[in-house]
Amino acid sequence: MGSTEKRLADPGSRQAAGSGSSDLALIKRVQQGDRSAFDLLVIKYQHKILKLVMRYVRDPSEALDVTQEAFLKAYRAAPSFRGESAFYTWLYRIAINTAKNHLVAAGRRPVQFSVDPQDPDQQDLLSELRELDTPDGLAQSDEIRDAINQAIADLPEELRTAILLREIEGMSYEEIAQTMECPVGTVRSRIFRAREAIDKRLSPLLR
Amino acid sequence: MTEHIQDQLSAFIDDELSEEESAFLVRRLERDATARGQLARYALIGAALRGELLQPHPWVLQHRIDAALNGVPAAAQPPVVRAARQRGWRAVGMTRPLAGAGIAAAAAVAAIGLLRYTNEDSAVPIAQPSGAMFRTASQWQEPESYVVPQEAAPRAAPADLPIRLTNYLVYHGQYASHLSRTSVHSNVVGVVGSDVVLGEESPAVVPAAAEETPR
Repeated sequence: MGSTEKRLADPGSRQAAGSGSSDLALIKRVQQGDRSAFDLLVIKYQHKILKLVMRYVRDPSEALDVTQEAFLKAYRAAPSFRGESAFYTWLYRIAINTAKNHLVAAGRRPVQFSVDPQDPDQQDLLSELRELDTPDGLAQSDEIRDAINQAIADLPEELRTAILLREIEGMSYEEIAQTMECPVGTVRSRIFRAREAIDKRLSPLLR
Repeated sequence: MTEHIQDQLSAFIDDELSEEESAFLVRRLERDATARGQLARYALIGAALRGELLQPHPWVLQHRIDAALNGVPAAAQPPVVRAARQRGWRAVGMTRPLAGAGIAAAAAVAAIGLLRYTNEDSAVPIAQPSGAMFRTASQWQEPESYVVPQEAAPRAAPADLPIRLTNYLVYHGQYASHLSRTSVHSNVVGVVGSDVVLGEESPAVVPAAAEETPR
């Protein structure tokens, strides 16, 4: 099992980075009937869950439907969430089961595979993933990627390292602090400043 | 939005806020659209860096889910709301028997009206409900509210009313189907000539032909 596959097989690996307090606070609000709190969970995990579903359901429009259904199931089941596992782990299981059920209902056998952007054999799949975008969307999507890449390249070294360790490697602030040999507060500040710099490049594209 | 809040949003998206800070920020996010937009952009940056940027607009899927959730009841109701709803159901539970009683009362009034119609040659209005209908002739008394049209034809003696009523009920019992005989009146007068028919006068006033009437 490759490193990418291993990471994908362990849904809690990235979430172990944080304390889970953000998700816990949100899910508590959802359990009290707060819809907007669930919207925030959707904002936070929609890309990740869609990508996960695409490992089972290759058709992009079907994947969108399945992802939507997975979130709806999670919303309906939110009162039963006891916090015994991380929220993302729970959501991850719901998404996988929904995707598998979708395939069974469609009479297809679930096929699980991991996506590695560096793997040339998976370029077909990656291009399929991009088919979700409309032509206009693709152009804007490219603009967004370019803007983010440019912003990352322009960041000071310590900010770039901090944000990449967090977003790409999924390290916790504590782990980044050990890696960069600086206090956790500094890591938090660096990541925030990196995001702010990227956001300044990104905001005009999203208006 | 202050830089402090933005810093908290950044840590929030990384799940690195304390429980208290998270709870505080979630409450703020409920009413602060700018903060929600900032959070969505931070999520978008992360998705783009991880190669998860499948939708150029981070709100497309969210809008679809939001639209779908509009038809879904809230995941949970606050205790106050839930209690109020339970009270509402309790009120409905109490209302049903009352409504049933009301319907039964209306049906009784309608039945009285029908009886009045069938006995319309009697000038005496039947002012009392079902209780009066079960009185025997000997128990009959002049009603206290005396309402008689001045131009009315000579009316029968009040004592005639129970007899006519008895006759009606007996005939009804004879002609009514088995199903309708399950009504209170039919059961009471269903056995013509028995001892239970409306007291001592009833057998005497029942025409003999009634027993022979084909069903």
